[in-house]
Amino acid sequence: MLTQLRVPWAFIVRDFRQDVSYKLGFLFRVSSAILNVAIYYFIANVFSSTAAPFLQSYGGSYFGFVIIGVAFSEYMAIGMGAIGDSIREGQTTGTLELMLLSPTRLVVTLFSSSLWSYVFATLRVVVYLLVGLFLGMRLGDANVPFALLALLVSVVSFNALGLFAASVILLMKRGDAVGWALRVSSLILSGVYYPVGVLPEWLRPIGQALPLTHALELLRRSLLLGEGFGQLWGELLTLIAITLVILPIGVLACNQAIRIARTDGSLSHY
Amino acid sequence: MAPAIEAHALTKSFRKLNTYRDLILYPLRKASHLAVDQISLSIERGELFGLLGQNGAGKTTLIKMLCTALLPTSGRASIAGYDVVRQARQVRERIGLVSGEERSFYWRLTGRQNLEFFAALNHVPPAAARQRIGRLLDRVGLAEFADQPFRTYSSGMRQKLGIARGLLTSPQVLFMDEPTRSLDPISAQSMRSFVSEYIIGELGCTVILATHSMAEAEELCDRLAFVRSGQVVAQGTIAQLRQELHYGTRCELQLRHMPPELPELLGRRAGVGEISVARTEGGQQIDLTLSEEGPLLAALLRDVVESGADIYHFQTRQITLEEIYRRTLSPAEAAPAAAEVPVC
Repeated sequence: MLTQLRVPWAFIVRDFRQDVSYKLGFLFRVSSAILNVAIYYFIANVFSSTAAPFLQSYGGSYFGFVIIGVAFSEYMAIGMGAIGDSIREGQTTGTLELMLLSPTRLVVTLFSSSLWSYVFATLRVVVYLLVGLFLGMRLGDANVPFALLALLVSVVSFNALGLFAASVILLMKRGDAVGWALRVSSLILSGVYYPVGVLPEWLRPIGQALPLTHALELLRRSLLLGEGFGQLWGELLTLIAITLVILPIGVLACNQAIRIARTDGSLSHY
Repeated sequence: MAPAIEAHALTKSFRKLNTYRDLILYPLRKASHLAVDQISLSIERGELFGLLGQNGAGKTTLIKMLCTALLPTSGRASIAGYDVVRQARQVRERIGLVSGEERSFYWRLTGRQNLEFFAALNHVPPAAARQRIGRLLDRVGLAEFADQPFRTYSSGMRQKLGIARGLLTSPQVLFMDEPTRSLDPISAQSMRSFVSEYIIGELGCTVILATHSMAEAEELCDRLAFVRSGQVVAQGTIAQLRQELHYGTRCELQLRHMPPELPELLGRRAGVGEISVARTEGGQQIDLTLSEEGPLLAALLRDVVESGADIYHFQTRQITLEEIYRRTLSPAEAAPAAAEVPVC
């Protein structure tokens, strides 16, 4: 088991060392989370009464709703972008070809390359939640084990979508159109800043096909209302089903993209 | 036991990228470029095999196919008996790659941290990795710079770190693609010693070395292949390559006086190849290439003396690898450039 974890750990150590070598950037990225929470706190104060009818099923507070939405959508952004970013970095630094020439399985290499971003995102989520709690967000009844389970499934589904985006980068080098489209549509249709109930009827089904919609529903209701498997099993199974569909397709797309890049010799091109 | 490296009719053609103009005017036309054309090789364990050829000849493409970075269009190849396409993972466990590419490291990490990362990626256990990294850094002369960021390294140091990385897995086969490209002459010489004494002598690796340095090839390689337009046009030991050229001996005659008909007279002798005449401070110099030294040389000297020429110096020597290279790969000898093959 320890042997299997050495490669992911090596990626985390590599990326941590690179990140902290940019001292100011590292501190700025952590502290910007504090400013974001402050901004949403004031926006929530303005809209608290008008937004309340839409937020009954989440406890009625816009501040708690939006902090969880913004904090956990960072995992979505990483899942869809980190693998592609890592491939792009590997192409420009010339390290990608050498990484893919190692005996480590492709899937392990790609997922491992996004791990530090998740660790860092977790640090930012903790900052979001701590500052949010300080400013009055209530998580007293939070069902943390269930939220962690939901987060785990969510991360796998985000990474599966990220594999599509990575495939496009491998082949087209620039123009992460797939990743961009997925990120933007998730932000608009998945209820990051507002409940999906405010969307026009015809848009809602599209939102339901996106993993982030179900991830946020699970996280908000488990953290803000303390709900668990008894109330949220349907939502959890939907997210698992979506993941089971997109994960193999994502892996297949990435394998195929690598094969094409190895055929046309463009693995290290950028 | 299978040879360390075996290739049979290995071929790689790349699809040519269409320009915007082509996309509009000829949207269906596809053209390909033949980079490696039916190359067959067999390299024994512990052998150091050189690949020589001009830029774009196909050396790097051949190496990339053998180390599984590139899929062949046709043909097959194996490393230590493992097929490079069907058994790529087994191949990767047995090879190391040293490229002349300097940028293939993480610039904000130290040399040691870079090696630690690649060791983990190549499944080298941590204790063995620590020991091996220390020993390799010491052997390539980077021990005292090991904990400095890679971005502060000179070109030579980066190249040395690349060699250390290639050896991290104790590979059976090491591919070296122009490893001394950015090294000064003294560092290049020390690198050559390192390759022959440590990599070949102590580790017993099989090495494929692509290089433009004739000195490097002459000093290190057991056998060589000349690559031109994706094809191996000659291969063997330097002595065999010299023999294949038929005119493996060069003779220089320096004359104070030379009758004008002398070069033509010498050229009539069977076994005389190229003849060139140049003016020198003391008179003239005739350079000839010969198929052998003994009786032919005696006959030539007799011709010179009988023609009334006043000879004051002559010497013979075997032609150098650079001369073999030039004569084998010169444009006059060259086949038509890699063809553009319409696919459909």
